[in-house]
Amino acid sequence: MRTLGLFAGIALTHLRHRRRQTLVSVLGVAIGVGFSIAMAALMQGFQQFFIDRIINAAPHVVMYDDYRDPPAQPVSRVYGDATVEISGLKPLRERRGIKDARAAIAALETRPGIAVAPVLSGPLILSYGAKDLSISVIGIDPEREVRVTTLANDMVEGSLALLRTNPNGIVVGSGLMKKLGLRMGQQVTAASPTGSPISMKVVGRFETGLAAVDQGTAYVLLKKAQILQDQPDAINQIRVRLADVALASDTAKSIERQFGYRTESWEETNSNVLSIFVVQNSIMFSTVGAILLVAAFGIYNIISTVVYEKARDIAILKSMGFREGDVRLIFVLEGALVGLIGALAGWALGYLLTKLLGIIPLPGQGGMIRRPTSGFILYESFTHYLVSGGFAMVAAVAAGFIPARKAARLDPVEIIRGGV
Amino acid sequence: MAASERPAVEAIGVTRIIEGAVSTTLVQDINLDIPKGQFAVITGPSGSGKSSLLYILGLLDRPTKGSVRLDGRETAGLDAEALADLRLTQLGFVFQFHFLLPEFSALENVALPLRRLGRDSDTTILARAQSLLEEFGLGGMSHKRPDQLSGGERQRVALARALVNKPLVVLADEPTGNLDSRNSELVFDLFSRLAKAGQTIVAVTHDMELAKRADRRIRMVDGRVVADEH
Ligand SMILES: Nc1ncnc2c1ncn2[C@@H]1O[C@H](COP(=O)(O)OP(=O)(O)OP(=O)(O)O)[C@@H](O)[C@H]1O
Ligand SMILES: [Mg+2]
Repeated sequence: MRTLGLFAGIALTHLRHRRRQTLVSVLGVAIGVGFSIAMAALMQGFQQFFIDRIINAAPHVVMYDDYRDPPAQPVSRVYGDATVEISGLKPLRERRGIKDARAAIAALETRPGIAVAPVLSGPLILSYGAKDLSISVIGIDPEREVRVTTLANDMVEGSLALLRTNPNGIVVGSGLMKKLGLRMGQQVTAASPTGSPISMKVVGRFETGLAAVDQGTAYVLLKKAQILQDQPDAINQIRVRLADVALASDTAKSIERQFGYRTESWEETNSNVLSIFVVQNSIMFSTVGAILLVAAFGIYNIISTVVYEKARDIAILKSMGFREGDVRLIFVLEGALVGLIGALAGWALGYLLTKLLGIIPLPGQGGMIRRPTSGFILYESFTHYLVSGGFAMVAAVAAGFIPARKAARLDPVEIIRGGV
Repeated sequence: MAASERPAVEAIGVTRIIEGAVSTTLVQDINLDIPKGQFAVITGPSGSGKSSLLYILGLLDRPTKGSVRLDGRETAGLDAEALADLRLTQLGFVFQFHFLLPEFSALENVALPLRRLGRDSDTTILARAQSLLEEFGLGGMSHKRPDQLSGGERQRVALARALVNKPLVVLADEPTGNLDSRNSELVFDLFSRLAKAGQTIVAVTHDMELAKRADRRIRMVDGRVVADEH
């Protein structure tokens, strides 16, 4: 331990000897670490917020009224794999909707930690004034729906209960309201491609924060949706909320196995977004990795220079009885010191950058999500500090190790003979 | 043989050949023992192998043939770490060009081997280093860096450092090669004094006048010992 202090002291004098180069390397590490912390907070903040919104706002699992593989048509059932090709076949028309939905809901509700709500969703054209907008209408059972989504919390005007007292009531998203220029209590004409138009009254407004949802969704009573879509008694989704969201994927699979209908977990439904996150993260990690790599080259560079310049000192130390391992340690410590100081400075830089990102006001409200705050949504985590700092230390030590090994192998006799 | 009668250092049939396009023989068939407390000098023309022999005796270089014993202990089979440890505890070097660490003060330079040994507290180490510097007339210079010292002062600092771990043998390669005659005499006076107190010293020198102060003169020519006068 005491000798470690001696080695560190020698390492420090070497770095002090190359002050400017050391400073540049420290800065390189600091920038790498600092940016990785700020970027991680930014990315994870955005992603976490997005995922939270999805998990909260949407059901965890949805059973649809179709199948993952299209059902076999009677003709292929008869002819099987025959090479005869028949074209112009009309598929057997099945009644849409989940068959025996009531029984399915009852069966699902026996599972523990589960809330279930039936839904009939379909396309709808909302007309108000001169504007027509094609949206998706969701027929709900309000009492059940609030148990599977956070729709009740997302209500900013009116209420879902008003749907019960106004059978022709409709609850619309904030963005949609704005687009149509609608206001609470006003009448709007609703028509589906299959049913006849109905005049409906706006009894509520919701806002999830997900722009796509807020601009393109409306809720009506399930019964009313069945009339609008001309599908009496039909439902085409069973929405499920789980006490433990981590079970979503497994639950979806087991429901699909039980009923045959296509059943998606929230991960599957949002897989395109989640895969964008993967791309985002890879870009982030490669950027930060590149910064740290450059910093590591800088460290390698100073330590190599120091080894070259201090060959004489190395020979003295070895003739004095320092072991090869001692000499190696001295130079590895130099790398570690640059890494450590750089990581600490990087932590400070990362902290400041994160704070800065949290307060700078962002222009506009565009983008995929609406933010609850004016700055970026940030996810601050000590793990980011540990990971980036640890990575920097590993890179620094590795960068120091190569020249350190060379230093340890120097032959003192050669250097002493070289003289002067 | 009693411990005190064992030679401090012995060379037994030592030959060192450097293999290359033309192999060079640095030293050849050296048989030598240096008793404890002896002050021996190695003389000889340039290129005769004096430094080469000193590096081998000091375990900085290994003989191609033959072996070196330190206090009766065979060193041929030892690995690099064991040799380093022996250099730390049993040997002290002084080279022609004051090999001091330039960023460290005289005191810190002298303290280095003791610190590497790591046996004593820092206060004890610094006290010992300081007393050695005082013994060599450098008491007031301890906080100066090497570039703030004269050549003679640096060489005495180097000697203090060589002695700080109380080595069995001090090996000096032309320690006065860079010094004027006054400073050279100062260094050799120190050697004589230390040898009288029981310190074994092997020094290489070109200066025949200084060589006369030693207990023993070993003369080398072409890598061989040609004269050994006690
Ligand atoms: N690495 C080497 N490769 C080839 N020849 C070498 C090597 N090292 C030393 N020599 C040669 O070995 C011989 C002995 O060298 P050494 O340094 O031991 O002589 P020296 O007696 O100390 O000379 P000087 O008085 O000039 O210091 C010299 O001829 C030298 O040129
Ligand atoms: Mg020589």
